[in-house]
Amino acid sequence: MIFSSITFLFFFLVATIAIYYLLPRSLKNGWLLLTSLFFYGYGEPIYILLMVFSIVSNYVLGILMGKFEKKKKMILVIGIIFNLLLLGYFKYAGFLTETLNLLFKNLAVKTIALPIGISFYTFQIMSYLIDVYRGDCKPQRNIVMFGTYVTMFPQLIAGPIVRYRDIELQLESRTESFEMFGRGVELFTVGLCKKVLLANTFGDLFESLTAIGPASGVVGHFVAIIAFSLQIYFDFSGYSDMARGLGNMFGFEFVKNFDYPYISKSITEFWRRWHISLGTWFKEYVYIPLGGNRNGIVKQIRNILIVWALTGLWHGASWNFVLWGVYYGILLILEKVFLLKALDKAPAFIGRIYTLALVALGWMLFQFTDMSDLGNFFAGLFSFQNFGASTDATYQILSHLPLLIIGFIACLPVARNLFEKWKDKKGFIVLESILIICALVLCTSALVTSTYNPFLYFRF
Amino acid sequence: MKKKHVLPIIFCTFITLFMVLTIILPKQERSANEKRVLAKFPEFTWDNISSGKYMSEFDTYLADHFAFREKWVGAYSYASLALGLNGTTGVYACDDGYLITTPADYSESQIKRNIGTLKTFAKKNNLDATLIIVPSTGYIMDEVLPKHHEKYKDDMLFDMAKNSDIPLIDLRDTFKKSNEQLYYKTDHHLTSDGALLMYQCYTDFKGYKPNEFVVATTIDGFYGTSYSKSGLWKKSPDSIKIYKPVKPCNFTVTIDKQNYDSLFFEKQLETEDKYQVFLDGNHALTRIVNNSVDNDKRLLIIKDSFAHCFTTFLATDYKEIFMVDPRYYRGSLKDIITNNNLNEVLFLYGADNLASSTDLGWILF
Repeated sequence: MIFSSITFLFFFLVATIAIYYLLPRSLKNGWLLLTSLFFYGYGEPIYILLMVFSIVSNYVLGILMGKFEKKKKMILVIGIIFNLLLLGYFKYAGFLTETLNLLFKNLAVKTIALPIGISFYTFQIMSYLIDVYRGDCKPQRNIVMFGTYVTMFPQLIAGPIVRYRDIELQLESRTESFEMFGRGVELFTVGLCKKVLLANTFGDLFESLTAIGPASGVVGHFVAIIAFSLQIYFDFSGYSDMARGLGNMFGFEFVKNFDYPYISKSITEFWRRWHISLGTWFKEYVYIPLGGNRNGIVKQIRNILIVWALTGLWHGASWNFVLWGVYYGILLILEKVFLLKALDKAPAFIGRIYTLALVALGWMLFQFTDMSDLGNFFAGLFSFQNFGASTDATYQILSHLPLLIIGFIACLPVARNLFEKWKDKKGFIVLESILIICALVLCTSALVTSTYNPFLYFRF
Repeated sequence: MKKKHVLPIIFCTFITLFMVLTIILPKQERSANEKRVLAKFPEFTWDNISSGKYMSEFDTYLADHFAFREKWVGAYSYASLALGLNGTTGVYACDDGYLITTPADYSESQIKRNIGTLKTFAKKNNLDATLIIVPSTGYIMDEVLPKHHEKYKDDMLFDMAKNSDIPLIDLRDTFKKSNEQLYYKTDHHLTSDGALLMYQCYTDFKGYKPNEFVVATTIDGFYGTSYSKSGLWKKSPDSIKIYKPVKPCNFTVTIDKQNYDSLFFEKQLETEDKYQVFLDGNHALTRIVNNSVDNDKRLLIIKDSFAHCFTTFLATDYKEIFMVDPRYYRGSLKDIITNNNLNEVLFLYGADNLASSTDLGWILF
């Protein structure tokens, strides 16, 4: 199930919230576990078994680590290998066989439906095992609570990646409140708007412009990059906002995952503001254990490259994602070595333009899994003899212009700042209520419209 | 109510309200605007559930029966339009209340293939062929289109048709010069005035005098397919004019072995697509016999729905017309041609359909 669907919003959520608040404290986590499994199995029911298997085995591993203090390193290694094998099999088997085929040929390429959210919950489970190993938290003895942590539907399929120790206390005791629920409503609605009203429309613009191809000119290719950059930001951060908002509705407080990344003045800063929970995870569980920056610059560069190749690979099972990760690894090393100092001295706008340009180019590495598509796109972007956009591309660009402007503004903390300034003023709640209702109406109408498909010639 | 209660109450009321309304409001079986049957409640079986089919069908069911579904669609269409997104539904909202289909997506090779098929067909069956292409509304009605719009490719189609040596009746200039309303505002078809003008172009081309027609009735409240696509529910409807010949004719129309004595099917005026009043809409094969003429003119029309209104004029000149729609007809045309001694064929298509059709190949079998 996805958040931006009628089934989720008007059926699943209504039932889940209503019963959650009717149940006594002792049953609340169990209810969340149950509904989360339902949520997870709704698309691919068979994978509920995989999920239950994952929960039970990692629960047992955690308990064993607590019991056999001396063997806990071995147990941890087994646990990590086990989880990586599951992830590897379900996410990377096809990619691996395809890559091996380049060398040996004749291996059958296996395509397996990707269990939704497996990249996210595998990382959460591993954070739990490592935290238990390190003694940062106690093994969870209650399997319902552990299961709730792993499956919790708000963050199950697209993060944020919640570390176990950050949420341990909330699992055991938390207090829901109207204030918190209200904040949840704000966050969820903002996220829904980002996803349904902005991301999807920018996605359409990107699709139309790339479909027009070379005729869209340098201008069209440039706008396409902007459209994709906006689409991916609103899509992903919208999903994170919805996740955090839903968490709030059930009394949880998840970490912030996006913090206006497009205002960053360097790539280093960008990655502190983009998908924060993933960056934290890699830093904590890969970069620092590898030695981080403590063993000299050469080892540090090696560590950065390893972390970023893995970060790239985490985003998708294809070489272009590795390339995209290494691209960032190299940029970050350059910044570390000298660029950051230079950027600090330069005016802020230079840093911003530099960052946006590199991030936007990076998105094209991210988007085009096919290298020849990527090559064609860059050829179009830089073929200056074909500068202007064709009639069709101009139409696409101009009709999306108002939304592009709204998109630009929504990338800046403008609305956030106004909200902070006004939120305690008298009467603000009236304005806010009106905005929330309008937003919900618009999003619902967009969701319903996406299912409206006139069938124009019957008997066709 | 305290301030802290406001947002939770608004949110919960909103989602609960539409859940309840969706459950209790009566369900519709058909969507007239989408011209399709709405989804049925999925069947509860173990196989359906374990394969996930039940869930995806449930999603479709909910979406199809969501409370006030079409009102939501309307709200979104108007909101998009207000934000400058004109044409994302496949229809441009234009001046004068025109809703005009956006340019169809087709390529030179598709045109080449389809026109090649027509040529081969005429040659193979030794028929005297004529081609009429109805220009797309957007191409003719340039002046009402929004300032920025995608390009209509009719000229490419007409140029390629001209070079194909099938005699072509080129309507472009006549249509552009005309002051009549040639196209419906809410539908992609020609109005009866448009079809009448096309009929006069046809008789000019063939070198005989057209019959005279008068408006017999006018039917109001016609909402066509562009209207359905647009979601702009506040637009005004069209009216359909029914022209009848000044000198009355007596017809026998045969569809699916049933005989009718009129070219106009008034029962269709009660349905969701009133345009079907002309010759009962789309059928694989329609045979029209004119009992009032003495000539021996027989014609085969290979066509899409643009022919329906037009043929109500043309039928006054011919003893017998066979109208075939390759989208549905799967029989042998050869039999019809030889059994009825046909030696004349008219290809009549809307520009977009002719360029992008994938069913034309069937006429060669």
